[in-house]
Parts: sequence; structure tokens; C-alpha cells
Amino acid sequence: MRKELKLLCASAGGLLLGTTIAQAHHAFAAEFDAARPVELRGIVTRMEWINPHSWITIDITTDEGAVETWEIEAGAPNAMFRRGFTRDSLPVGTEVVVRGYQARDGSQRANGRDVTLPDGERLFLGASRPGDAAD
Amino acid sequence: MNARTITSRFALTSGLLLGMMTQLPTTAQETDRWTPDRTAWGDPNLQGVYTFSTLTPLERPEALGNKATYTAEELAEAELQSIIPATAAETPTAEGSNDDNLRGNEYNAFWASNEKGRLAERTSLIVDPPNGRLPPLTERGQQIYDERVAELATRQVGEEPNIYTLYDTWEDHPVYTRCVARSMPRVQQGYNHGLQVLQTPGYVVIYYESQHDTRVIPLDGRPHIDSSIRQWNGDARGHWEGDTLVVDWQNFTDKQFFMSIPPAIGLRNISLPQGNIRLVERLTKVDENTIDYEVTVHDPTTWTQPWTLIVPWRADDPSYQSPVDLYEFGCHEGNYRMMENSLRGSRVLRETYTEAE
Repeated sequence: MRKELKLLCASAGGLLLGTTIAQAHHAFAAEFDAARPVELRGIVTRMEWINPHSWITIDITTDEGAVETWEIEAGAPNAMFRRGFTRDSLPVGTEVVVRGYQARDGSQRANGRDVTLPDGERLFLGASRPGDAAD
Repeated sequence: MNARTITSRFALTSGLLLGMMTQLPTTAQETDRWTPDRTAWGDPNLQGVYTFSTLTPLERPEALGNKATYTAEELAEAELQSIIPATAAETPTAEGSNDDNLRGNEYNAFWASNEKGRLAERTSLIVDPPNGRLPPLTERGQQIYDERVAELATRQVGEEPNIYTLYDTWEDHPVYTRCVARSMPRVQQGYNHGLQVLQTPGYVVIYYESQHDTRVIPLDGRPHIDSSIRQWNGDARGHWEGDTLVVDWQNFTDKQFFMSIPPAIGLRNISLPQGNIRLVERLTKVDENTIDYEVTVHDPTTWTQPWTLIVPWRADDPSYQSPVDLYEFGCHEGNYRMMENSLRGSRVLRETYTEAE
């Protein structure tokens, strides 16, 4: 049976790696650039808990002293709550470090991967999932 | 006799017939079944908050042939296997997760597994045909499918494994991404699998978390709306057969694509127009925490035979225990940046690849 299950998994993997999933990935690929990871330390100015995607707006101060506003795409609120966020996790004024991937056109938007809170806790942001041309 | 009289007479007759049907003796199989409690007015009680999330694939892997169900041991093993790919590379640790593992795979099974429904005992959601796989397409179905694939190819740049689908206009996005409507029936999604069933005398209401869709299903035997009227969520009519709610669902529109939903947990991106489809749903409470949600898909213009799937709706998922766990869906508010990002990003990609040529 073990072999059969491996076959099953291989087969499922085949489905995952097939053209359908490639097509599905492109919602991310058209929007964000996996080759442009960003790490942003900033202050939360707005938190939108909205299905299907939440958005966190932060102000960061560059090395030159300029303030830039970045918008970070995050997951669905209920998905985030399951990962450990609470409604009080990201009040305005919180200093956070966000890691993610920048928008392909170079604008100050990113797909969030994780956020580190002031107490050092790091939580996954999970903006969406493959397939989600439709999600 | 005016239309209203006809309608009410039809309703009365159907109601009587349905009443008689519920009195028919049940089969041996049915008597073995778990018996749901009743509503105050005597209907089987299906009410509650459920999730239809499951990692069981729509189609059975061919290697499993006609093996329809797992033993308990096999199920435990398969459950374990289904988790490993998601956790090995992507579980966040104190050091953070590995960029190399994530890159290019940012939206992967992890997100789905966060709302991962347990595997069903069945090896596939499709239970008929007996091989657990979609029946062959008709000539017309295949032609439409090929046209869709060809159209998609005109919007793709790059080479494997880095092929990018471009969105040159908002219309290149599926209607769900545009927050217009989400394809029915709801079978597998990335997340937001919650739903609530409510009942009143004469109606069953199904509220879906995703896209905040509410289906109000009359049980009084009234006829379907005219076939010339086409709706995003079709037109449903229900009745009870014993403890099973049977719903006839039609009048869909070709503007929607049937089950054109993420394939990441095994679904094919079928993307065939929904207009000719007629669905028959059968909802049966099989134990205290589970409704078996069965759907038979009829569309002789698309598939060479009808086919049937069963998805478990579960009431024991800790994430979906009460109506407050179904968060409001604010599709446009959450999505408008996506539209802008994808149109802009597509232009960047098109320029990059045009220059490269």
C-alpha cells in the first residue's frame, strides 16, 4: 500500500505541477516579482481586515530620511486569525517588520510573506494561494 | 386560468406528491443511516455551520483504479502524506522560512492547508463514473476547451517553468476575480470554505462565506423560472426525499465558467460555460457532524455522460463553529489593488519579453 500511496502522491504532485497550476500561479506572477524580495521596517498607519485579502499600510523612513508609504497584501482575515493574529495585533502606530515581494511595476506595494511584531513574534501573512487567479 | 393559478395548483399538487414520497418505505440501506433530529415543524434538521474544505482530489489518481475508499490505516497514511509537502518547506520557524523554497511558489499548498479539510474516506470526490474520473468531453465540449486553451496561449509569455499569464484588460480576469460572482456548486476553493444552513417552514437557505452568496431554496414545489431567464447562481427548487434534501438547480448563465476554480488541490481548470448545466444536489446528514453533499452534473452538450461527486460538509472544524466565524466578504475593497497591480505588472512583463525578442 505504501507504494500505492506514493504513486497517489506522485500523481497528485503531477497534477499540481501540471499546466493548470502554472496557469493558476500567475495571479501572483503578474502582480508581484518573486525575484524582488523586500524587508520593510515601518509603522502601521492603516489595517484593513477584509475578505478575500487584507491590506496593511505602513510608513517607512528611508536611509535618506524620506517617508514612503507601502501597501502590503495579506491573507483573508479568518486565515490570518488561524495563524495567530487577533483583531488587536496590528493597531495603528505599531512598529513592524514585513517581509514580502515587491510589485512587478516597482510601485510601493508588496505581497506580504510574514510580519514581525514588536514583541518579536513572527506571523505568516499568507496573502493568497496559488490558483488564485480566482482567489 | 392565469399563470398564478397554474403555479399555485402545481405547487399544491407537487406538495402533495412530495408529501406522499416522504411516506414511502425506506430501503434497508437508509434504515441503517444515522437519523437527524427534526425542526420544530418536522423537517430533517440540517442547520448549522459547516466547512466543505477537503484535500481529497476531485478525480482519483489513475494508479488507484477502481479503489473507491481508503481503509482507516491508508487514510491515516494519506493524510500524513498530504500534509508533508506543505509543511516541510514552508512552516515558519524562528529563523523564518527558506526563501529558496518559497520563491516562485509563494502561493502554494500552505495557504490551502491552513484551512485544510481532512481527507474524505473516499479516494476522490467523484463517485460516478466508478473510476472516480471525469467522463470524456463531447465534441462540442472539447472544442470549447481547446479554444479556451488557445486563447490563453495568446496571453502568455516566457518559457517553462516561467510562463506568465498576462492580463491586458480587466476582462481577462475571470468573473470571480472581478468580484462579480463565484461559480456554483462550491466544491474546492483556496480558503473561505465556510457556509451556514438555515431552515424555515418551506425554505432552506445556504449562506456561503465566499462572495457572501445566499441561496434561498423554496421547497413548495413551484416550477423553475422561465428557461429564458439566466442567473449567475441559477434557479434552485428543493424537496425532501426521506431525510435527504434534493435540489434541482438550473438556469445558469454562459457568462459563468463551471468550476473554473483553483486546481491546486486536484481540480482541473475546466473553464467550460455553465449555461447548459443542470445540477441535482442531495444533502444527507450522515452523522452528528457531517452532511454528505452530493451533486450530479447533467450537461449532455459538454460531457458524454452525467457524473456525480460527494463532498463532506463538516461541523467539527474548530475554525467554523458558529456564524461569527464566517467573516464578511468585501471583495472589491480587498481586490481593487489586485486589479491595478495585475494590469500594470502585465504591461511590465509584456514590455520585458517584447524587448527580449
